[in-house]
Amino acid sequence: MNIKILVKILGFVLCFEAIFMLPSTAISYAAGQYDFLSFLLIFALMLAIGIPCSLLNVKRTKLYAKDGLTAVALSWILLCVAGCLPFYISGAIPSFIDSLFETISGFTTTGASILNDIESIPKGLLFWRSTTQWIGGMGVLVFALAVVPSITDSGINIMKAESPGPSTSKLVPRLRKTAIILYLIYTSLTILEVICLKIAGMSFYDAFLHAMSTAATGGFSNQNTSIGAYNSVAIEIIITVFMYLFGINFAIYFAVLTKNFRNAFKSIELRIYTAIMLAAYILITVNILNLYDGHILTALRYSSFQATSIMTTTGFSSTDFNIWPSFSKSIILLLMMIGASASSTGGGIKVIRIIIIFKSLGISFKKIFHPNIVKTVSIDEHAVDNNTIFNVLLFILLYIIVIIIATLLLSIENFDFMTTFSSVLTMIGNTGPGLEMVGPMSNYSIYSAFSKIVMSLCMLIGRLEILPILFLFIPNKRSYIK
Amino acid sequence: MKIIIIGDGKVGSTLANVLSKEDNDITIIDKNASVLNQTNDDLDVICIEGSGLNIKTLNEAKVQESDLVIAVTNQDEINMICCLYAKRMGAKYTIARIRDPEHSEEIKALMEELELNQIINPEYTAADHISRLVMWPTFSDIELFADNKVLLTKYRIDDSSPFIGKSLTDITDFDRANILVAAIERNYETIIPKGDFVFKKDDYLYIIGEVNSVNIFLQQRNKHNNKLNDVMIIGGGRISIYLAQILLKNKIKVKIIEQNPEKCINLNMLLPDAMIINGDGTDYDFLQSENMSSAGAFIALMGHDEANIIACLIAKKSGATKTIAKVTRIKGLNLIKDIGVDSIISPKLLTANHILRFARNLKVKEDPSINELYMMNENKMQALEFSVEHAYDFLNIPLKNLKIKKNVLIAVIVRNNKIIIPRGDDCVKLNDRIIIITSILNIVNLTEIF
Repeated sequence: MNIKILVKILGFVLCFEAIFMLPSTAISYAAGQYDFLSFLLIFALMLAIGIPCSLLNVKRTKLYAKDGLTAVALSWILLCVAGCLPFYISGAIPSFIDSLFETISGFTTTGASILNDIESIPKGLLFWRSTTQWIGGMGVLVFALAVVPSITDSGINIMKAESPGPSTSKLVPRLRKTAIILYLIYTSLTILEVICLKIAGMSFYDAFLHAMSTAATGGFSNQNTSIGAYNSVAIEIIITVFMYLFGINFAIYFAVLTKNFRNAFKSIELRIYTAIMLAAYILITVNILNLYDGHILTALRYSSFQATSIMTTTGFSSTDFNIWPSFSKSIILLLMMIGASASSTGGGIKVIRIIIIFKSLGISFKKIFHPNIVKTVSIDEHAVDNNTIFNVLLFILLYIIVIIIATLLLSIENFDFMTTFSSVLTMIGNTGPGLEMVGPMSNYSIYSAFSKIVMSLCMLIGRLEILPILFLFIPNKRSYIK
Repeated sequence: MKIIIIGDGKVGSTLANVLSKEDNDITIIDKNASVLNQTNDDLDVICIEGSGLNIKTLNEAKVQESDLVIAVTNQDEINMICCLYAKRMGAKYTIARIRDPEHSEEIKALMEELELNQIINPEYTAADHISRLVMWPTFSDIELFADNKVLLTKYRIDDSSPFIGKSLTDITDFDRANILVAAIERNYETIIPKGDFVFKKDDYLYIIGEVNSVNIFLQQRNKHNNKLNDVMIIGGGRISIYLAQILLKNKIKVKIIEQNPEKCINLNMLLPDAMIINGDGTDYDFLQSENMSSAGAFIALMGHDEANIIACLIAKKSGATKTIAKVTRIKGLNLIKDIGVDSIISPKLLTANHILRFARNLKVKEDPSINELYMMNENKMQALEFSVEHAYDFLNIPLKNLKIKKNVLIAVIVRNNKIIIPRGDDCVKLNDRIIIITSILNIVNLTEIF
């Protein structure tokens, strides 16, 4: 492992985090609240450590796939540890573990909180909480590749490790341009949402905060009752639409921008993603109709917002779906597992993996009847090789193993099974709210410090798609590296 | 520049590697997914799995927007048709690799019919290169500039060299011979030397100067400098045929050793003036009986790198003046030179150099001032020849007053057919040609060296 380049990358990560902290610091200053000094202190600290590290003169800039995994895992851990300091030092969240949980929940775009009274937290810190989500949504290392491509020759290995989905492909030949395009799409959509939310009646501050949380499919709000606090149909529709948009594979936006409409709308992932979502709308609406006295539009309003929020793994809530019937709750758990599209900002297993699995299952069945049949899985007219299928299977298997282990560890708390299980699912899927005791109107403060650490790890594992974090825990890694 | 490379073999990936570092957008098309995966991990390029003959694949690669399409798959016909398609779909320039000697007669017609901008024949390029080495036997590595007037070559410092331990300014031999030490290769790193540079054993000097000056300089220092009159070639492949043709034209005796009897008959038909011998080119006794020790040059051009290297080592040991081996694997070329083979020829690398030169020139289409380009030491350094055709603002200013970038050396100025090794007081004038040596690999324009 090339330690020097790793230090350099980590240095850049700190510098970028410091820069991203500036708006929050400014807001904190303008609001004149107690968190300003701690922001300033941490900003200076991050630059003081980050700049010398980033200036390191590295001769060998080659990063292998395994180095990419390590770099990404360590960067994210550093990002979270440094990012949690404002909460901890200002005293807004007195416990370090709690601050860390809150920040990891931010960067991994989970949106799970341990705060009982969100509205009592200073404005600057709340803004920082949503900023962490926005950074985490597209990934900080992708940002680094866009700004300073000279860090390494082999950025693709970093991008592969950081962006979600079974196969990472570049939009254009240059990695740097790809990263820039991704961030441009991401930023413009976010700004568009800010404008829409402002028009719908939010204040600029609220609009920015919610737009950033939506863009990252994160789900942090500055209201105790999340989006439900506004009780505005317009705002709910706007957020629903944008949650849906941010759950789409960003390659599709690029195809649309380059006027390649045929490819864009033929994408099977986009179609299945939309179909699953619409099916969930209908099923939940019918199921909860009774709760809303047969008002189909009211039922649709809540079901569509909630289904979109859960499937894109955002985790906003406009109502308490804890009181919904079991069938609806089961659908919500299912959506949580499926998640959004690959190369979007959403989490979960990802629709494309589900498609690949079902297609290969179909072929396996055909093989029973026609043992000599030759048929390959194809996605958008491109054959998927066996290696990719194997990796998808492996991913899902690991996903399930992590869920089982985490459930086992969380059940030490002795809460009911649904609370424990939904906590794990929502953490590894980067969604946010769970069911029962951790429902949309509750939070995770009921858990002990140990469970919070387990859940934090789940969030990181979910966001980075298992391998990078797992790689850090491989015992005797040296022998693997050599 | 948007460049599409069809065929991710050795030439394709070497090209992609160098071109992508020069800020071009590279798309590679190949049928083999596993090769593409490797390339995708190593290089900042986009890879598309598919055939270059498939319009859909070409569309996906956005051929219509591309500036240059390079077809280097292992089949001539595929390369031709790829280029034809690409041209029809809107690619600005196309280059095809066409290697079959069958086509070599109709090259001109093919180029016109297929609207190709350039054809490369790696085997012919290699043969051409080897023939130069044979005709100037004192050199191990040759590149000619300025209409073959300026020569860049490598010179190794051996145990007995008087240069060991001396610094560049202490040695007056170079000045007296009117040649320049342009670069030093030491431990696989290439350095542009300063005056206080101290020579060590096993350094390779890149020396540049007028052909005759360099020739005389090296002849004084080399023990054997007889002109080569006969050449022994092991292996009867395409390169051997081209090489034999060139050498025979220059009245050099050629002996070809080939193991396959049928091939021998074919060779005899093609090259009536050459002596064709059927036998094993790595068999010591057999080679001895064919007088390998007295051969002027021993050239191993068989299909296997290992066989070529072993044959050359045998020949060297039994006293061949000059040994040349063809090596296909590009990685680790330097290591082979260390064990005593005089020259290594890599057709792939030569081909890549050739295409690179063309691509660079395209980039400065409005100012096509690069005449020659030569990659040194595994692509770490290069020599470029420029024509000074515009009234740049650095003209007529003594070099010592100019701020030239680090790692750039103005090695030679050619003015009215006179070769000048520039000193601080010399200056560049309009219509000069200048040769620079640099480790900055993406220079395409003269203004970039200041």
